[in-house]
Amino acid sequence: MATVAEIIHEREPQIMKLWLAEARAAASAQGLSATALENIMPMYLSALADQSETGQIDANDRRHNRVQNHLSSRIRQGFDLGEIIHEFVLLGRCIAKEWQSLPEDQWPSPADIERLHSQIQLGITEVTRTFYRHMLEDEQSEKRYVRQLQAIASDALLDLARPLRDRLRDVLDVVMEAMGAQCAAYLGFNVRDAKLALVSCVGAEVIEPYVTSLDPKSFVGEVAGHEEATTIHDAQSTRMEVPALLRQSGIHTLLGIRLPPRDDLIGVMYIGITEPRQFTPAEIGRFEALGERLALHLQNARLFEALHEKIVSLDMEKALRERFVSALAHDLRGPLSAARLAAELLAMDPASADDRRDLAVRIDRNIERVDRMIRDLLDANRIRAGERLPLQLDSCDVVAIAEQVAEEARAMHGDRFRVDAEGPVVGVWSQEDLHRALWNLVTNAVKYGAPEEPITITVRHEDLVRVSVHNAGTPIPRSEQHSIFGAYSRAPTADASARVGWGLGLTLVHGAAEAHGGKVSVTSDAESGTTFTIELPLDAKSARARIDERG
Amino acid sequence: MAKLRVLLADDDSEMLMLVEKALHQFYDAEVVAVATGGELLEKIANDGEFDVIITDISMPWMTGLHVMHTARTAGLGIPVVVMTALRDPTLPEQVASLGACAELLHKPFSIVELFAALRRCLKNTDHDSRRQPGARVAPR
Repeated sequence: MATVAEIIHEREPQIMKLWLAEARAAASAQGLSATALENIMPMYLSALADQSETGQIDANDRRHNRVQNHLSSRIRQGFDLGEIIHEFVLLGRCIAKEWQSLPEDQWPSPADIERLHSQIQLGITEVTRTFYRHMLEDEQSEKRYVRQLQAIASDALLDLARPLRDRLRDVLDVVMEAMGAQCAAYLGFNVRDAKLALVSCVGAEVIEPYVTSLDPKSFVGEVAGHEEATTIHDAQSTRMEVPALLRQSGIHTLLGIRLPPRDDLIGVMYIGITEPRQFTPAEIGRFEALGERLALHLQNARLFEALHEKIVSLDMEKALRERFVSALAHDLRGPLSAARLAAELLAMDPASADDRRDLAVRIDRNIERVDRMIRDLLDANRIRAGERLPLQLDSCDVVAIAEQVAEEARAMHGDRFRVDAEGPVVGVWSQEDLHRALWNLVTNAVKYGAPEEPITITVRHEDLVRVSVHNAGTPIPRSEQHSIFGAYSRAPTADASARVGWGLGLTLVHGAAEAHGGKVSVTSDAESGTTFTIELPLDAKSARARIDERG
Repeated sequence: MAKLRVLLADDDSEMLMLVEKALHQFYDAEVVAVATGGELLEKIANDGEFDVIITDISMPWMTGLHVMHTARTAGLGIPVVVMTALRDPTLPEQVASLGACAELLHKPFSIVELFAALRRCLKNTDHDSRRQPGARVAPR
């Protein structure tokens, strides 16, 4: 014949598994993790085995405290009394199922079974009594304090200007009053350095910078390592690390909780009282309830802050896009105006054939300008989406491209453009994209460089081919140099100039360099001016293949 | 009567050439063309008197509006047609602040619109009505 104790010891995992499966059916258990649902049940089960072994039915302090804690936790989780009692009944039924699977002669004795039922009945009676006491005492006060926390949190969302430290001081005042404590503190967890740092404190503790690791040698490190509340009975003599001023403040007993009890750590909250006494389970329950509520508000605040940041960044992006669309519309109207005037002049039937031809060529050229702008826009969007520009790779001479760009620039902006290169430098590149990249760099140099000063295109062939465009004039501030290759970004100093632009030129240069398996860089200072350099492998086709192989 | 003397400024060389061509063809005007705000200012200061200035707004170094405000501050009341591809709602007010003989012309504009703006600008000057463009302008 087996005893209830033996059955529990031997079949504890099966009993808990069965209990979990059946307990989960309760409406309030939905959404709770297995650990949260089990709560104290494994400990309670082993206590039942102990009483079966000793043959004594009693409600010692430890078990009493566990049942009380379990009750507090279930109430916070939204269980009603019937569901809490049902969990205990279920546990008895699950234990019984285990011995009922054995041959009848191995079942526990009727007296043993009776003791189990009495012990479970005792637990149920205790839960019921405590529940009503909780209802009367705690519902009023706990809910009042929770409501106060809610009011502080709602206020915080309406007034973002007030620092978190001040908000938390209000929260800690409420917690201190709710707990009848003489001090309260909150330490935030910084994920980057895995440290807890004092954010706010009220009461006896004087504010002092306090930062510590999660090492359990400190009180708050110990608190952070446990789901349940942690207490220190004498802060003055404890061997644990506590803030120096707290040790001298007359505070004796500390109670700390991890926020939230499970999941990713946000911080730690503790209270202190001058009396050297233990906190009651009801007090611990209330502190945990306030802590859970604070954790929820802190999580909400983080989400709200992230949302706020997102809105600000979307607003900035929207403003950039609006500015971009306005610049795009402006620039498209240029060639459209020219094409329209040319078409009107052509419609007036100019006398000479040369004039007619010239106007027709101008219409064609301006339509080509519009088409080029649309291509630039689409290519920049492609680069922005992280795609590589499709290139028509063929053998071409980058010096010839540089000469052509300089020639076109001279026609538009006068004789300021020099090419510093020796002989042809032939490689496998996209002539069209290199032309566009160099043209963008040269026109940028015209727009933002010193007027009248020479603009030089240099081509050098060493291990790689380097093509650079240099201009004198106001340098690009160092703080802006890293972001100028981004799409729709115009440096603030560029914005201050009279010229409107799309902010796509350098993006296209960057996209062309990368698509060739190369890169673009900039150096800029007052003494030597500004130089943009495109580095190109001699054969973009094989360089790209190598990059693709490396993934 | 002397030829209409026009100072024309636009950083778009195509626009510069086509507006100049239209002014030659229909007003037989003498046109001085420049491509930056700096050159525009320099021509106003050093290149004698002009009957009218036709200027774009967005140009390197100095906007056409900036140059015209500087000219007005210096006491030069030359009539001006301000061309622009911008759609800034404050522009009419900015152009109006240049005085009665200032006109705003949005790109893309037709030759008829350009000449109408020019006429309004030159009203009450020596070139008023006597310098109407010929009837060859195609009706819109």
